[in-house]
Amino acid sequence: MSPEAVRFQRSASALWREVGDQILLAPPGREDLDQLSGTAATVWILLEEPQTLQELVITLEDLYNTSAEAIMADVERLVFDLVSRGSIRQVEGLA
Amino acid sequence: MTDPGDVHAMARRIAAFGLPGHEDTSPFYLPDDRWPGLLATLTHQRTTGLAVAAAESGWLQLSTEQWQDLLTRHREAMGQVLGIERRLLVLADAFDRASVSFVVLKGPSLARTVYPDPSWRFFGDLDLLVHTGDWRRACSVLEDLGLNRALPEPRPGFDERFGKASVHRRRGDIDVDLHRTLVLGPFGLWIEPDRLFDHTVGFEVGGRLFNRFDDTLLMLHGCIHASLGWWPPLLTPIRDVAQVAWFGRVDWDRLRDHALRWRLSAVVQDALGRTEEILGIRMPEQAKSLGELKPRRRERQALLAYSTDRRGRGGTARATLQALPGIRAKAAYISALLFPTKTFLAARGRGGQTSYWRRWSVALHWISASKERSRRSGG
Repeated sequence: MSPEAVRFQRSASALWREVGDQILLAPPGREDLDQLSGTAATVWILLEEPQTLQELVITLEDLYNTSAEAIMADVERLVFDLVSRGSIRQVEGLA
Repeated sequence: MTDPGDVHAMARRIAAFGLPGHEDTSPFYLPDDRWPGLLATLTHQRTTGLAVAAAESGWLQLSTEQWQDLLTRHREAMGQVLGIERRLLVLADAFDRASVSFVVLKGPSLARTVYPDPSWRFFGDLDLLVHTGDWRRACSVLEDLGLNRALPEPRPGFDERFGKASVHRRRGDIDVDLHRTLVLGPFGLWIEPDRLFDHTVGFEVGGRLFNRFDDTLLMLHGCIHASLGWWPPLLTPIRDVAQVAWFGRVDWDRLRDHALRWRLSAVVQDALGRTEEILGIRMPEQAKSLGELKPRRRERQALLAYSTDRRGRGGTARATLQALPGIRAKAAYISALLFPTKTFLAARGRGGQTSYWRRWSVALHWISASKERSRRSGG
């Protein structure tokens, strides 16, 4: 599968709550909590459904009136960080 | 119109946010000097989630500072809630290994099902129901995890025969309330605990399936908690009653049957009445049929043992004694309360004292005070 085709989605085992415009996240297998705010919280909300990085960036471009180039690297870093913490999982295949 | 200076009235209005009948939608501004009191009340009543939702809707008007204060408290509350759900996942593995099935009561089973967003409903501990036959094994599972009983049972076998639940705790960890029935005292004796397991459904926490009561039993348990729990009642159990009644799929005929069979008619009526009065809302039309039930005198009397000052004067123990069938059970109950084990006395007594006399003197004080009240009232 090409890297562009990989989709991501919230892991069912990640416990979380919305607090105002922030997300409080309890990743599986750990004792501490993560806190997502701003664009990161929006990414979390969007990942209720499986999304590719490209799809995420296009949506964020619209929402925040910014360019894909300006946010692509940050979105990629965030998503892979959350994958490494077990809060997000990679989903096989395209929808 | 609520006096903006009355923080308790304001807290009740916030506790009713989002319910049908909560029709006062004009924005509410709170004087700055009342905010600390309201914030403390919201925290104590565990309703910061409802306040956040009310503020986000625009109904509750808060200054930037007040909003930040509220979010800070709510973040702390939700951090606690997530810790409890994490604990639930660990406990579930341990219970599975010991082949002990359980039902998740209250907290997560309400927050994740009948509320529109789980962050609306705080919970501060974990309540699990197990079959009476699994009780000892379930206690051992918790003890193996370092969650020890906060208070031993008065005498061996007391829990399975007369008890409701035991609290298990470990320093720095959450409390786990292990239940074998839903309430202490006569109503707990009249409920058939094993039949509660016949009315469960699944719900998910952290990708794992758990058992909870179906919405009809959620409603019944909500009423028990609202009517027989804390006195005076806290707003969260009261809100639960309204939330399940309006948004759960309650089978009102079956609820009526349970109430009649387990002698809970007076309790259900009391909870519905309190909910309407405290939250200033109306209950669904279907709930009205429950108001037509005619609770037996014994039920009404038992209810008074929980909801009046009798509660602090041995009222529940006396009502339990009256509800126990047969002389042998009554004798066993009295004997356990008057002659508990030394371990129990040490845990209950100040500074580890194990005095029977101190325990009996409390009962004697209740009896003499009761006679004095009776004499004064000419009874």
